[in-house]
Formats: sequence, C-alpha cells, structure tokens
Amino acid sequence: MLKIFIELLFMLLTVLTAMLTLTVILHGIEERPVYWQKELRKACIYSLIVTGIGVVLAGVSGTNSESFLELLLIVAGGLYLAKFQRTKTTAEIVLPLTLYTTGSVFFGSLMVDNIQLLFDIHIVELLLVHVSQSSPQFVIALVNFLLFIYLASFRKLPYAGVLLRFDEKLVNVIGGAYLLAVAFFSQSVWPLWQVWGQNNADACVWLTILLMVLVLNRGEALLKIEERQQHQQTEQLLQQQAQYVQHLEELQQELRGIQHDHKNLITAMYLDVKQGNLANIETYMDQHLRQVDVSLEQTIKKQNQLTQIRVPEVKSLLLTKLIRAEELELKVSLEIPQTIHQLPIPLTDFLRLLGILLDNAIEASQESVGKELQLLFWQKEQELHVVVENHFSEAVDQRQIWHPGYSSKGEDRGLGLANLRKIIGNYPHVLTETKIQGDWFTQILRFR
Amino acid sequence: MIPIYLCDDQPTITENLKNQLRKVLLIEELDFQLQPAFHDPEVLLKTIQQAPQNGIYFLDIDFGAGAMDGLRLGQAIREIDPRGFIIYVTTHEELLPATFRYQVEAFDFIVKEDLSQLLDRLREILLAIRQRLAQDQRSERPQFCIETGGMKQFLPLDEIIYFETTPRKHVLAVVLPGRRIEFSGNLTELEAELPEYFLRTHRSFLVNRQHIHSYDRKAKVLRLTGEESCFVARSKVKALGF
Repeated sequence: MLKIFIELLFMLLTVLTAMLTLTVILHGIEERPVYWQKELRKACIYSLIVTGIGVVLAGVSGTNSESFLELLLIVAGGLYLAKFQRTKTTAEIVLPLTLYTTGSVFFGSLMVDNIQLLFDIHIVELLLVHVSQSSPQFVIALVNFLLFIYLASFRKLPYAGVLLRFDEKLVNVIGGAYLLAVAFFSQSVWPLWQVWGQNNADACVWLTILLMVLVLNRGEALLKIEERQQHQQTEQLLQQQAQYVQHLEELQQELRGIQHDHKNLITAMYLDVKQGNLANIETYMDQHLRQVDVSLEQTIKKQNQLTQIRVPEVKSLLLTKLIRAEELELKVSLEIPQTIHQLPIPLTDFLRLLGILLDNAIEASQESVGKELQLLFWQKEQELHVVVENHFSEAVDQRQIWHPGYSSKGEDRGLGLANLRKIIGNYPHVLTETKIQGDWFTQILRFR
Repeated sequence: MIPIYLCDDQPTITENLKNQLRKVLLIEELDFQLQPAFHDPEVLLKTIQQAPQNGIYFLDIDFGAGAMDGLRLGQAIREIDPRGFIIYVTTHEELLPATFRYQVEAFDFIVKEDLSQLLDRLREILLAIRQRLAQDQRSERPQFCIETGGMKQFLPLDEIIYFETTPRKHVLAVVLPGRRIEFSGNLTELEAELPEYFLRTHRSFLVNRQHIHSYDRKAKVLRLTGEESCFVARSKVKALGF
C-alpha cells in the first residue's frame, strides 16, 4: 500500500514537474537573466571536477560509486547553498547549484556507464510502465486533473505570483530546505524504489529540482523586471520634479527683477508726487503698473493651476507636455478651477488617455497658424471633464478620426486616437465629444 | 428689444461700462436696451426671473466674500435664459476663459486692465451679438436637449444629421456638422420621442431625412450631409424611395 502511494506521489510529481517545466520554458525564456550561460559553464567545470574526485574516491574505497557520488553531491550542494545564502538571491544560488548537480549526474553517469538515466525521464514511457502496473482509471483521472491545473495555470502563471509575495529570505530557506529534503528522501526510501527502478526515481528528483529552479528563477526575473520598471518610473518622476523646481526658480528670478524695477518706479513716482507732476504719474502707471509682463503673469497662472492637481503622476505628465509645448513655441493655457485629488478611472489608463490627447493636440497645433492650445480640467462632485482645444490647419474628417490608423499625416500616426477609443471602450461611464469650429479642434472627455 | 444687464459690485466699473455702452449703442444704432446697473447678483437673478427673455449680460467674476461668484451667477442665468449672451468683465488674474466658455458658454471677455481699449472691445462684442441674432432669426426652431455631466446642451433639431449607437451599452452619439457628442440614452426611446422625419434606417442609426442625399448601391450606405454616411437596412431602402 505504501509502495503504491509513494509510486503515485512520484508519478504525480514527475508529471507536474514536466508540465510546469514546459510552461516555464515556453513563457520564461525571454526573461531569463544573462548570467544563465555563465553559470552553466561554471557548473559544468565544477561538476567535472567533483565527479572526477567522487569516482576516484569510490574506486579507492570500493563502494557503490553512484550512491557515493550522490552523497557527495548533496554535501557539496549544502555547502554551496550555505556559502551564498547571505549574499545572493534565490535564483543565483539555486540555479548554479542545480546546474552543478545535474551536470555532476550527467558526467557521473557517463563515467559509471549509466547513460540510461538521461533517457528515462520520458514521461510517456514512465506512464506506460506505471499504468500497466496499477489501476489505470485512477492514473488517467489524475493526469486529467493535472492537465486541467496546468491549463489553468497557463493564463495566470500563479506560481510566479505566489513566490513574488514571499519575503526573499524565506524563499531562500524554503527552497534550500526543499532541495535537501528531496535529496535526502531519495536516499532514505531507497529500498522502496527498487520496484520502479532507481533511474526513474532519480529522474523525478532531478526534474523536481529543475522545476524549483526554473520557477524560482522566473519569479526572480519578474521581480527584477518589476524593480527595474519601478526604478525607471521613480527616476522619471524625479527628473520631472527637478524640471519643475527649475521652472519655479526661473520664475523667482524674474519676480526679483520685477520687484527691483518696481522699487525704482515707486521712487521716481514719489518724486513726481512731491512735484505734483500728475501727467508723468499717469504715464508711468499705464506703462508699468497695469501691464506687468504678460508672459510672466501667464507663467505664474499656469503654475498656480498645476498645483491644483494632487495626483503626482498626472501633474508630472502635464508638466512634461507643457514644457514640450513651450519648447515648440505654442501658446498654452491651462485651467484647473477645482482641486483634483483622485481620478475617475485607474491611473495608468488615465495617463494613457491624457497622453494621447495632449500629444495629438500638440502635434496638430504645431502645424497650425495660430499655434494655440487650451486645456481645462473641470471637476464637479464625482465628475471630471477634460477639455482639450487646439488650433489645427488641415481639414480633419471628424468621422475618420475615430477609425484606427487614421491621421491626416499618414499611416500609424492616427493610432493614438484608435487607442483612445479602445481604452474608453472599457469604461461605459466615459463620454466623448469632438467639435470643429473654424480652426479650433476640441476634444472633450467626460468621466461620470 | 434685447436688454443689456450689468452686474459688478464696484459702482465705478459699472458707471464706466454704462457710459461706453451708451456711446456704442448710439454710434452703431443698435436695438439693445441698457438696464440700470446691478451690484448684487441675487437682485439681478430675481429681476430676470420675473421677465425671462434673451438678454446680454456683462458680469463681474468676484463679488467679494460670501457672495455668489461669477461662474455660479452665469450658471444661474443659463438656467433662466439658456440662449442669452454672457460677457465677463474681469482682471487678467481671474480670467479662466476655457472654464467660462465650457461651463456657461461665455460669449466673450473684457479685461479690466485694458480700459483704454474698452470702447473698441464693446463695439466688437455688440456687433458680433447682432450678427449672431440675425442668424438666429431664421432659427426660432425646435431644439434637442442633451445633458452631459450636469450641463445642458441645446442642439437645433434640423442641424442634427443622425444619431447612432456606440459599442458601449446605453451610450449614443449625436452627429452634427463638425460635431459629435456622446450621451446616455436609448435609440428606440429616442425614435419615439423625435419628430417623424427622423428615420430608423438601421438598427444602429436614426437619421434626419432632410440630410439624406443619396443611396450608394455599391457600398450599401446612405450618403448624408458633410460626407457622412450611414448603414441602411435592405428593407428600408425602398421606403426611402431609392
């Protein structure tokens, strides 16, 4: 009874292992880090050396060279793991370890003339052998169930997700312990395997180890990719904030200049007042006081409006686009009468929508005569309206605008609006309005 | 005769505006009637409520602490007089043209600092209003009202080319020359509501008959005003006389 149970357990493990390994190989190859090849080479060299020593020692002591080799490998693996536990990540420990052990077995099997081991890992063969021995219905049901799990896992790849949530150290410990436990298990239940054949059992062990590695490796790779993305985002945000600060500093400089001018002006006016020279004062006031540098006033106004947005990512995006528009010498006005604390749809989609709208508006007004661009964020209770108005020069076919690939400038450039439409398609509570009036093109998004 | 209302809490401003407006009315022989100036938005609202009609409004934006602001005043006026002309008289600082145009369809803006150009600006604005009114004379016509996000928009029915469904449930779009607006609604209910010259040519289209130009046999679509086109069910082609 126990024998059958253990056999089934191993078979289950083998099937699952093979399937998941296949999944990981199919899905995870492009995310495999570069050090993979380097470690492979290292592992091959190590395993050659260790196997050589093992075979020599076995020959000298006269014991069964294969089991002796295995024992040696486990000890070496444990040492290897202990050595790197503190400094390296899971993948960096487990990957070379397994490559090293697999490599050892490979070279070891070459040397002990047991190459058969490598060809015995065929699952089909394994299944056929087993089905002939035990209840076939049960095995088929089991395989079906596993297939179901396998197919379900295809969509979500849950193992990577689960592993990602673990603390890294915990993964290290669990991974290491698991590896050693499997190896030990393979030793201690040795006699029970005799029915099935030692080679098949070995294949199970190695496949399990391989699976562990690939899964861990993939989780690690995903973690790294995520980290890199986050890093990039933070960097971008910082850069944008630096730009913002620089903007504010320039503004301050300008204000200081104006304050200086005003001081002079007031001194002059004071003298005029003393002399009763009213005409002079009137000219002064007309020329200087009333008409404070209009562009400066515009800039201050824009910055004031920008502070109304309390979602940093949106503020950054707006700032970037505003700076770009200014570099292109467009006249931009920005109006945000109410403070905006939260967005009506998820951030990423909102940013995409806003990015598309602004890019289109900037591009169109850049080619226009008026070169003007107006932006309005209007919030009222739960609603947010984004109004983008821009000058344009070409005749735009309004109906065509919404079709994929359309742009009056040629291929590909109209994809923005098609994407806009696609994103909006997910939100039934977003309404759009498009308007052409003279040389103004208006695009409104209403989030209800 | 179309009344002109002024509303600003500073009497010097209203006085100045009034004098200049009087000049413009005289020179251009405009048929507008200048009303006494208001200093309190509430009083203005009460007055126009008593005798609602199309008017011209020159409004301040900031009426001091505790009072209604220009934007809310404009919105309140729109409720009573949806097709009046609202002009804001304001400082550079307070000026948010896009907001006011979007929210109350402000007709124009006068900047307080540029008082030297006041006469010219007033003339410009009043002449533009006269022109708009002349255009609208022939357009004492039924309107279609849609509400998009708490704002009412009035669209002349005869200008509407068609209504269509969108890929999203309960979202319809109305198409006019140079304009496409999405709103929530149901095409079947709309069909029952609208006059008979709106035809359901297809399960997704409700088309204004006046804007149908021809039937494209090859593409199996109706050609409409402004290079627009729409699908037509085979059973409806004959009924349309094509």
